[in-house]
Amino acid sequence: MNEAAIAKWNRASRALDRSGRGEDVRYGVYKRELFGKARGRTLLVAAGTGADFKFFPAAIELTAIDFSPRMLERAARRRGECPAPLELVEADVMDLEFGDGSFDTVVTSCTFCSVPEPVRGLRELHRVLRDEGRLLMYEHVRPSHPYLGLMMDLVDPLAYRFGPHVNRRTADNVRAAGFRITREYNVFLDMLKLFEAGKE
Amino acid sequence: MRPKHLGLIRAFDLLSSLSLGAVSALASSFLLPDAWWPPVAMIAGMGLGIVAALPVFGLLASLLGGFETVVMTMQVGMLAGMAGAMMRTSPSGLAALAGAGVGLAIHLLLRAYDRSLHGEVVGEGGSGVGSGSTG
Repeated sequence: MNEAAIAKWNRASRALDRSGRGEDVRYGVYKRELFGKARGRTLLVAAGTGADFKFFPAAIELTAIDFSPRMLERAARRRGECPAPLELVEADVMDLEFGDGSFDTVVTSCTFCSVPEPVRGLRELHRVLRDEGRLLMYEHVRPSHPYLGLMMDLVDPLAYRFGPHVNRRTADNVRAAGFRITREYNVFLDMLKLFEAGKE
Repeated sequence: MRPKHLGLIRAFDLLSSLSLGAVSALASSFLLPDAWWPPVAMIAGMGLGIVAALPVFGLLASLLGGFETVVMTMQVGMLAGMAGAMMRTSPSGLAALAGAGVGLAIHLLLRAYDRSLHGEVVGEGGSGVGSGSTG
């Protein structure tokens, strides 16, 4: 596991709830629509403080992982907000201990802006997802506009000191990991997106 | 899909843009020396404007969402800071007004750009706005 990344997100766990309230008001409707498509045994990657539990449907079995113990402590307090049966597991998306094809759905929520090796993490998700399973992603990515993209490239080293990368090319990474994107939806500009993908 | 309270959120977005612009312009008009060569002062004003806007960003991000706020803060801070640097000898009220004007212009441009991109890119029979490889 990446100890520096774990330490950073342990520190960030206190502020994450506060900073996420505005996101919920503005974007909660998009998360509810996307996460509502989860079926069967579902893996939520990087559960954070559990702020997204409330967006899942009741008729699934949810396994939520995070590599930060502090995040999981906070997520455990939100167990009651999750309509579905919930299991919390300390795990790193780049090195999962679940068997091949263990999940019907994999969900990420602002996850691959922070994973140190995104393609490696996505390949792990590809492995644990059933062949007919679906990957549902709510992610922020590098904007395609040359000027805005350059701004994000310039800000990224500072942003990553305190939080996530802001210039990840997540669609390209998803394809590189062996997925086929079946839906891509711009939520804000083309930097906050919903993705739905299946195995190639 | 439409968030609840969207009108209220948009109203706060607008107020935020105006205040970010005013704060950034005032900071650079106050802090940059009058004697500086204008092009240097404008470049310094861009940096100073972003720095001055950061505390406002910190306050707004939790209320309005980090993604929208960070783009607005960077653009408004930079350009309003530059405008403030050009108005170092003007009354402070005028500099604040110019900064707020920059904030309004950036806000409208970002809204228009967002409207042009928002929605389906790939799949579900959407209208399609891009190549699908923007991420």
